[in-house]
Amino acid sequence: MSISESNNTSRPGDTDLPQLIVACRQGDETAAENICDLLSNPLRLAVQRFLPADGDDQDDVLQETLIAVINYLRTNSEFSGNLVKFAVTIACNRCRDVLRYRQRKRQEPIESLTNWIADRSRSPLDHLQEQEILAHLRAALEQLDPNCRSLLRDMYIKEIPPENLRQQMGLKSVHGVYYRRSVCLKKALRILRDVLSDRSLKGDDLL
Amino acid sequence: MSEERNESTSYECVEPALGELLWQYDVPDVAPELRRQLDSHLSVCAACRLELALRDKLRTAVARDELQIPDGESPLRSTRKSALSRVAIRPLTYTAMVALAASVVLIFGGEPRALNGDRIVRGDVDSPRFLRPVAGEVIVDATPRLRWTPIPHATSYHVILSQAGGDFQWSTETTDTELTIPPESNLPGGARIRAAVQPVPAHLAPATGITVSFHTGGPTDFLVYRWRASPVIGRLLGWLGCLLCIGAGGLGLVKRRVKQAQAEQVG
Repeated sequence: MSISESNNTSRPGDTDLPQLIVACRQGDETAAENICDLLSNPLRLAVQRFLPADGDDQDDVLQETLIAVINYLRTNSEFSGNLVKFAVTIACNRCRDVLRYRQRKRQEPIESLTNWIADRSRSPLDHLQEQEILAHLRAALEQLDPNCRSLLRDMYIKEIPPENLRQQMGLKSVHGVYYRRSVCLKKALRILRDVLSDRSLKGDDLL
Repeated sequence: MSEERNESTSYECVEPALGELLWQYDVPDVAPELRRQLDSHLSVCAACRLELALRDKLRTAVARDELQIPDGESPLRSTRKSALSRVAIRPLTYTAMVALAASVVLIFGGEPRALNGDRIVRGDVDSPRFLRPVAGEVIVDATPRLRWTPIPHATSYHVILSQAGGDFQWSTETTDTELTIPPESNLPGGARIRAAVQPVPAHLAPATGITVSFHTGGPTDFLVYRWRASPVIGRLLGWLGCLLCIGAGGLGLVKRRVKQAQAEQVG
């Protein structure tokens, strides 16, 4: 798919997005290009806040994001969210990945977003060494409140079945056990995020 | 080079409404359609991939004994901790109770005081005077008891009651130095009453006379009078007790709400 800037003077506006999305999903290339036109400006503004103007990273992230968005629209039966926000968030996350990658391997070409999307085993944890991850996990677990630690111990160390945990916790369904686990992991993730954020992601370090 | 750099380094979920449901990803009976949507979401969302990767890493690391999950606090420590948090409020409450109790004793205990306080006017101390009621006292009883100091050589006393700005008048004679107003006197309520005692023979009366003004009223009037006539320390302790009670109550409410919010957050 070629993505190029449109020279049309009369461009579709944001209000046309729902129709464009439907058309794009049906394989309409023009609709896809119009979507790219609409997203280009907000994406460029977002990417410029992260990445230096020199070098190819800005353009690469922009292009990769547009491809990812169009592919996502085509492979999903519906999209009901805010497409601009969706695209900008993908772009910003990609910028964070680029920054982290550049911090470690300044000159090596970064893996494409398309490959990252295709390989479900990839995650932001890939930027860390195994021992680093374990150390940060330990620190995060120590900062968790006792209830969360107790639940995680029950699930992962004692391997108590969720149904038994449900009864112990007095919950109505097993879903509640998974939900509470998710809440605890989010807490650990917040702690871990602080660590990841502290890993010199200021732009100056890359120059 | 752009001078503006986004300081936010945390990954963000690309579709928060769907990301909130990620906890269902490995739930055994998750709806197939939701599972498919989450799979699609994970293809583009770095934030949710991070969360899943963290979960997987935790599970595998624990299974391989590479990671220990620290023990939670013992129930005893938890109890002590919650007891401690209660203790912080208890001294406040106890102090409030003590202050209020002391205030009540000072205000309502003992004999009523005149509204002009304990000022001693020259010549008053040994002069014949009313002992009860005291000046400005509020009397709730419809049949109050009057009492005065005895006057040497007096054979009897005329007792006269009159209403300031009103028509009520009542009098009687007694040989005693105290007298209970009988019900048939029809002492009016909510009125300012002037009581006067004249000794017999009349020349024994002091130059200033033996009089006292008091009020008849309800319980509220009585409480207000006792408050106003109480020593300053009694009122100060009352205010202090009230403020401490409000503070303890507010603190307790805040702590309960924080605990409730924490309980809701965990689920």
